[in-house]
Amino acid sequence: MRPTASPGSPPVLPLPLLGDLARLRQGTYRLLADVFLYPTPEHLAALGATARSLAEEEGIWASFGFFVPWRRLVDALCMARAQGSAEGEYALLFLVNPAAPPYESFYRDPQGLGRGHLLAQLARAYAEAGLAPSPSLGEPPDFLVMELEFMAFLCGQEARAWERGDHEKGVESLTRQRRFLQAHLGMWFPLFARRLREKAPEGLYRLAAEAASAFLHHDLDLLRLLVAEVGHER
Amino acid sequence: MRGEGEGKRPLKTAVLLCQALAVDPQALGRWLAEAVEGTCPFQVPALCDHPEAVSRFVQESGASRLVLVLCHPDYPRARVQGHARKAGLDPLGVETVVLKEGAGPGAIERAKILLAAAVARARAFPGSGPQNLKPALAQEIDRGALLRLSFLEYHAVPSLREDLCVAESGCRICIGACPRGALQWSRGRILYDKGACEPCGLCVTACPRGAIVNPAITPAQVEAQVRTLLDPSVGAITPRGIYFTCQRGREPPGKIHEGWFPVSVPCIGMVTTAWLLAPLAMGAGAVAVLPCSEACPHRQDQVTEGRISYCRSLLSLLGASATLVRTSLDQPPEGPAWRLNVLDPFGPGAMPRLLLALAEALGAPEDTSLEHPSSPLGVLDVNEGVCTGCGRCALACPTGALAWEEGGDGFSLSFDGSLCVACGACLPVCPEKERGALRLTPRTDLALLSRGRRTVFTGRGARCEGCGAPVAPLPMLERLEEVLGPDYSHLFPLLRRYCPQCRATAASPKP
Repeated sequence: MRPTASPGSPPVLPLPLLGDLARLRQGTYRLLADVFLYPTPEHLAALGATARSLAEEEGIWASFGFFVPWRRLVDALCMARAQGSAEGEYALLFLVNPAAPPYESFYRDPQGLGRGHLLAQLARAYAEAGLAPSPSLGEPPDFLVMELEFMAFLCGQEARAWERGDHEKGVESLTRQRRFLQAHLGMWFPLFARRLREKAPEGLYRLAAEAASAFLHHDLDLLRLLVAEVGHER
Repeated sequence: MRGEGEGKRPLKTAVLLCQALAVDPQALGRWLAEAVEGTCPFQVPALCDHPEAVSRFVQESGASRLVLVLCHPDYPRARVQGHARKAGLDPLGVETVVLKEGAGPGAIERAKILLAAAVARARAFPGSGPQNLKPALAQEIDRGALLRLSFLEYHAVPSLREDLCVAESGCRICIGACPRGALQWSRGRILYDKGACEPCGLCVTACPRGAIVNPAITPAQVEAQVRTLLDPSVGAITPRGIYFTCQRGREPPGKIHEGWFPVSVPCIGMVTTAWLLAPLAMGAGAVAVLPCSEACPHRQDQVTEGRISYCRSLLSLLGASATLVRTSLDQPPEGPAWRLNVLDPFGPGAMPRLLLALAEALGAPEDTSLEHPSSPLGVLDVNEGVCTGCGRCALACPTGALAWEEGGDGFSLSFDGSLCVACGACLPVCPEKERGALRLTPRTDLALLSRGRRTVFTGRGARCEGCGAPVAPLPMLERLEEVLGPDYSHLFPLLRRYCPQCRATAASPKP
């Protein structure tokens, strides 16, 4: 039987495992962020190469509840460049007069009255982690890719903390991830995914939304579990 | 079993039988392949130690459903789930059957029945979404699990179907049922806290609209399982009975007659009166509920006792034996074994259908009526002298048992006894509750069930002089005037003559 964590005792899950898990989550967030960037042929080729190497590690990914939609996305990425339809799809869905704008404020503040407040909130969250949105991207802080990248950054921070054996920083990072996910991506991504399902019955971005939706759902649950187990929050 | 799902091919189902089973796995496999269409049985040496067999055999057979037949209940769930996923299956739909006893011809007949029922249940699995998964740390975390990162196992939790939920009208039945405080009502919506949920299933069967679904235990799955357990063409055991048992409970104490077959549920509290009567209607000689071996953590012992007492009283009134509903399994489940055709017998709203079918089979008098605190049906009496016909009760009614209609010169309130689940949502919203406008009795009344909808209040209504739209029932306006008193008598003509829209215009000063 698994030992039960109690306040003051070392975490039930060993630190190397927590580090590996954080790295795996970091990679997943990064890949999802990359998928929602403009799909130039070079970008798609890079995504395809990443997807092929991920497909080889299927055994590890299959341990997680989001595996099935995740594998569908990985399979689609392996073939995306050859199919050549991603650019057109991307433009219709996310660019001019977009069918499913990939911005948080579109879903959480459709009237646009509190957009400034939301953007400031996000910029503050990034700044607290020592980051600022890159001007070269030319996107506001509520851009989907930026929020996913931020989660990847926090996962990387967490992984480094576990690798150093810094339990306190590890827990702090887990808590920060959970807070950000609950306050932002967790609130609007389901609405974005639903819109995408309606507007794009098939295609790469439909699969990406399904995979990201399953992953984010899973990550919220996992963070809740990890904070309870590792942070002794019971 | 051959004719199952005629016109539709049954879902291909892989059945992995552990070679260490006490019952001859080879004979079982042969029987399955022959008798249960679409099954692909495989024997696996030490199945618990080789969960990788799951993905291999599922892929090999092209199956979309999986049943594991094990010799003990402890198996590496996390790894099995992972391999099921790898094979393209939804792990929440994997059924497990534990076969312990093995000697004698009775054992193999029993095993056949249990296996066929597990296959039927697996095939009725509706599929799940990310919202139905709740990760937990696996019970066993060994070095291998750390290397593979397979330290999580997933439990099925319910999700809400917003298209069926009527929280907007104030319904909070599921919240009252949840023993963990995982459900909350906020601004006409039900908020669900997955972290707090310990999937007991109480909300699933409490919701009269079927708006809460746990894909691991749906009415359709239970129906498929029970139907097969009672199918006389499967296995040679008679008579047969169904017993509901708590998943967390230990094995039932004492001797169990071989004719009893288990249906495992997350908590006995989810076994409603309809679930107790459904197996009887479907051909069970008797039905039983086994209380938890320890006190129920969800405090459902008394609820279950009440339901058993209700079913026994009802069966007696209908002319059947009260011993058809039991709490022990030592006696054979001998009973009438009706095979009645009842639509969706475990689904929401099944109770009236079951009752009417049972009453007909037993030739019970039409005026049979039972008042019982655990009655799942209610009778609402409306005091026409007090009711003003405002219709708030109908707005609050989650099942549509109460309906308020405007038509012709008046308004009417009608009540359908077959839809009333005695939830009492109509009572607190009634503005005339102090004066006793409504009285709800937990009563099962056969005559009322067959009668259908009947009008319980009619009142003439006032029409707007401005636009002709209905204003309100006259008794309501009269009551309003009574409450407002003479100080506001100058408003009365406005109230009676105009609808709210036209009233604003009529009341504004003329230029």
